[in-house]
Amino acid sequence: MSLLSIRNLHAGIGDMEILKGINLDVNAGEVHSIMGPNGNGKSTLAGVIAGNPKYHVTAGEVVYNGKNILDLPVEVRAAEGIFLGFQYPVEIPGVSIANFMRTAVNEQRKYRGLDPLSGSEFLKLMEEKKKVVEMTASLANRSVNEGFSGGEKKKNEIFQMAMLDPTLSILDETDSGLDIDALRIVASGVNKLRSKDNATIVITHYQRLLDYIVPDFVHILYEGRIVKTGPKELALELEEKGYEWIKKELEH
Amino acid sequence: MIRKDVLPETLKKIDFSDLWSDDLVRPVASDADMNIHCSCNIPNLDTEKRAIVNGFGDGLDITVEENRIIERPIQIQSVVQTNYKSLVELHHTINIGANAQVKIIHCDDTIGDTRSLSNNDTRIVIGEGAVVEYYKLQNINNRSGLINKTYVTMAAGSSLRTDCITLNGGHIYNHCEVRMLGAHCNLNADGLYLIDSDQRCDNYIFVQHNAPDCTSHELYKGILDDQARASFNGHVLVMDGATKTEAYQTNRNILLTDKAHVETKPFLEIYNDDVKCSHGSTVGQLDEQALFYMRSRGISERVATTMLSYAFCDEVIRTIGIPELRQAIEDMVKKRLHGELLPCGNCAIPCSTPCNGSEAHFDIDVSKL
Repeated sequence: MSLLSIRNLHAGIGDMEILKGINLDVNAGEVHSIMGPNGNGKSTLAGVIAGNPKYHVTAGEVVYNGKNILDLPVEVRAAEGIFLGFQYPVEIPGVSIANFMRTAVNEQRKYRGLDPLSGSEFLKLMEEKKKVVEMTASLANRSVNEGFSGGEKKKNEIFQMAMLDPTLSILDETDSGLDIDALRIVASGVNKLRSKDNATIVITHYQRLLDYIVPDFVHILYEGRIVKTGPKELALELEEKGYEWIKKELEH
Repeated sequence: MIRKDVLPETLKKIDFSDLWSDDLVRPVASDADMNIHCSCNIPNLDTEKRAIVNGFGDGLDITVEENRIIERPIQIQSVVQTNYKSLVELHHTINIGANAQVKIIHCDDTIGDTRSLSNNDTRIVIGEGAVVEYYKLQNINNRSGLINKTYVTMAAGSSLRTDCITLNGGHIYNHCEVRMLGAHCNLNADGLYLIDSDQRCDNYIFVQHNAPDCTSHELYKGILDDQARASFNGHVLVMDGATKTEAYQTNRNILLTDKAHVETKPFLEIYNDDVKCSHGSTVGQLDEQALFYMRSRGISERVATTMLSYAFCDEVIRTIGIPELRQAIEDMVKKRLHGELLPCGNCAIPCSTPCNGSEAHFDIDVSKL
């Protein structure tokens, strides 16, 4: 049984249909990359899996760990092990990262019937996970993403992923706005967190990120459907021939 | 006796007409360091306390000599505690000599749920070069009203930080007038109001720049739940000759429901070209994006809402210059945002409607470990 199984998923915003029948299977231990031109539904797919209330599902199902998750609240999906790395991480002035993460970690532990981490246990965990993305700054007094550079915001996403130890991570355009050093750090963070028990979906516009995070499968999402699936070489082919190639191929 | 026709416009909507001069209550005590069991007892904070329970007529008369620096904050506890409906009127006077430094905490509290109306005014005269912090804390029961008037004059080179924190009350009207009479004065006037159910809170603040090179910053923030109502009416008057004035006025509101209602009217009146002034107000909801972001990390909607509301308040709370007071207000605001009725929070006296021990869960900010 797949970790994630999406069947005939239709979803959109208001009356506008964006996803027009997505089918996708992701198994534990795999890395999938979803590529495609802007405005074709990549972020919508990520948002629907995570439970963003902005999107309405009109048909189909998303089965994760054997459960249809579409009726579950966002926070329950998170506690079940789904993590969304945001394309545009949100700034939350007045909430320190430490407090934010401690609340998140402990709420997830509560859901799983575990005791909350004490202050010192939490600090230890935080120091350990900061190393994953080579973070050095003290996080205690900094508000979540407030005044962060693009690179810091994305590093912070991967730091949060490391803290929450999800089973399924969806990284939405994690490479956008990153310089080459930040890209390397973020990608190596993701690689360190890979295991046979978890899976990652990397959404990206460019092949560049896939030099660092090597996918098992590449899917091309075009006009709300996955129109092509292949091995990692597909990304290279796409980079070389451009999206026009897909459009032409579909017309035939 | 209260004549309805002389009440401020906004107060006419809540009916206190059954209160008459017969209901005026004599002060029970005004002893120093009297231990009052109310929320204005700040844990770990050593203050010079002056408590007045009930009362009418002259309240406290505080004089701080010239050049005197008082480290220990002075705390005025104005508490209403009666078994029958009552009317309280107090007039406080505070005189601060030139170059003196003082911190004053002024609390209005009720003990029990008896209906009362307090009509208090405080006149503060600040001498040249004096540095003053004046914190107003209001936490009265839902059946009571408070008319709180503060009149301040500031002499040259003086500075005043004042925060007005409204945590609970049936109807609270804050009227604050500050006049900067000499040059180089500096005023920070902030306010925070957290109201719900049928509560109402009105803030009027008037700041007059009479002399050159003065600055004033106003930041009022409010969160309204249920069908609560609030208003902000700010007026900055920059007189001819008050050159190089800097005056900023901001009012921000969050409405948690469709029925909550706020009216906001920031207003600048300037008779002078050489000034930097701005004003603005916002009325909105909690940031949906931020809520989704927090929930996507596993934080429940209820906790996320509380954290965001607290973060909204933090901008005002962090300006409080007495660490123990800031901590206490942080705690009170957190409790308040959890829906716990505060007058019972630190109250040792059982009232007729005791608070249920609702589950309060708010993680400690590890930044303080």
